[in-house]
Amino acid sequence: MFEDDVDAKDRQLAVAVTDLVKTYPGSDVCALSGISLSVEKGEIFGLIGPNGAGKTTLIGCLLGLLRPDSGSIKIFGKPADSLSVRQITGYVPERSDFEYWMTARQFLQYHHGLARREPKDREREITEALDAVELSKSVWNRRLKTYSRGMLQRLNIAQMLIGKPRLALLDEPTLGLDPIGVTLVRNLVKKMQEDGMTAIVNSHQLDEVERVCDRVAFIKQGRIASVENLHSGAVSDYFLLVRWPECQLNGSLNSVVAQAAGEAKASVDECHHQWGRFSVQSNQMAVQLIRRLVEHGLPVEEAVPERAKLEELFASESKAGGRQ
Amino acid sequence: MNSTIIRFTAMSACLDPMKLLYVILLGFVMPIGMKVASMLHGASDSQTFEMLTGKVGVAFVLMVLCLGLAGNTATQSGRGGEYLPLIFTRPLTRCEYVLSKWMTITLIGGGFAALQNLIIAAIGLHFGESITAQALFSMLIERFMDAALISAAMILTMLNRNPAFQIFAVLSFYIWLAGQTIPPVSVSTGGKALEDLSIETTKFMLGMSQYIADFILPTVNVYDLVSNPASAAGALIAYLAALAVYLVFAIEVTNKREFFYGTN
Repeated sequence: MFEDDVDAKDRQLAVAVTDLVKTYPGSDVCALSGISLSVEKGEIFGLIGPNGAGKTTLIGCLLGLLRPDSGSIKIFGKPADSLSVRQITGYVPERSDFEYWMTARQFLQYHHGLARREPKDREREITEALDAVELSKSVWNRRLKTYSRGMLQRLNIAQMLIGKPRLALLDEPTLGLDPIGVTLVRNLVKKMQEDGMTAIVNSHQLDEVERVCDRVAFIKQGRIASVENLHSGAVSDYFLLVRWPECQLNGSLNSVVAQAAGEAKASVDECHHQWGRFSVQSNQMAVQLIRRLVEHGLPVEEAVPERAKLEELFASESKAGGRQ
Repeated sequence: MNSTIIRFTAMSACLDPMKLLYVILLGFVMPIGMKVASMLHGASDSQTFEMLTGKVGVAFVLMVLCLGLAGNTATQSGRGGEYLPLIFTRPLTRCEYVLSKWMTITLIGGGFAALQNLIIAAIGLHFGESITAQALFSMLIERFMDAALISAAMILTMLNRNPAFQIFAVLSFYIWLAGQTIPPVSVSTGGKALEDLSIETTKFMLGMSQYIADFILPTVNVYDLVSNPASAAGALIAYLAALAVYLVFAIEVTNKREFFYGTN
């Protein structure tokens, strides 16, 4: 009965990881030291953390390619290494290798077959995947040995798409891509989410993680240091720098600013004669704040969002406790 | 068996023109030339010819065309640069992978060697040699059986990361190969220490090679098996046992191994 309940609960989640411990043979350092996390269906979940924190190891365990020492992993309620899970999982490796004698089409034919897709849909699905990653048609039948790093990375993403996964694991998906490629990946991930897919993104590109992910876990020394909600939590807060000219409020500036901020539910970080720095939790709150400031007599000239808090989180979590 | 693995392994083996050139030269041009020459001059076939048209020939084809394919860059010699982890994220069992590879490599090695044997038999017939259909059939089956055993051993060696095993396997193969190429030694040089030592070493090598041939790469004489099954039953059992052991171990080590990037 309990097992049934657990399974039913697990099935609501795309990924359920419980107390995962992994040590590599011959190493006395735990790559993962009791990680637990859950990812809901349709969610885009980010993994961030310093090099060697265990992010890629976690992805290896989620793929069923690495065997944890203890703990459990359920993907849509099933063990990670079951074939039915692999049928609905796509993976973009960070350091993929290719058979360079193949063409892009052959490479995708290979993965289409391995993913056990219907042969009758093969050519159509290959064309769709190559179009999705915007790989120029002129190179589709060229051998991969002539491809640039960026082209190979696009193909790498196309092989993930070819299996029509419900869960995508993307390990540094923007590696080697130019800014257009980075934007492409961002749009692809958003499109995947619109299509109901779940994705776990491991990346050092914090601004990209912040743009595409719903939640993010900071992993450090094999543990989850924190999980932040990028839409409604502290990390989605950002600073808004608001400038105004010298005005007649000098005597009561601080109290007026504080009152306007309070009405907008924002908080004042700094307040000076000609500018103020506010912490806001959403764009709507920022608009409300500016409106209140104007209503209270501050002639606002400029409002500029400041750097993302995810970057700050990364910096502070990396410093906290130092290296073990 | 996985048809995608079979198809792309075969393509991978046959799309390298340099490898194919080596196979054509040593697998076809040389032995066919030797056969024609011996037929024209009425000479018996040389040991080199026997070697190139027998089990060594099969091993040669497999080493040139398929050694890399047996493991498919599975050795994880460095950080990154591996191909198998991505393959194993697909809905494919390790058993399916190993057996598909084995089947393809067997068909490639056996196919090339059988074709070569067939051409040589045709040349022999053309020059008046007599060969029965049973002998020809047995010869062709033997090439596929050789290929099946050697490819299973190759796959096991390439997928098993244990360095001691790999050294043992490669050393055994080269001792076996040396034993096939060294002529029998039966003379004594009469007390010259260094030459005696050399001959003793060669005898030892030949002895070792014979053990390897018997236990690690046993041969079945299909013609004998067909004409007198009782006489070749032992060889057949040894062959099947070796083949089963290689395949079961290959599947087992592949199942147990963690294939992932940078796990070394």
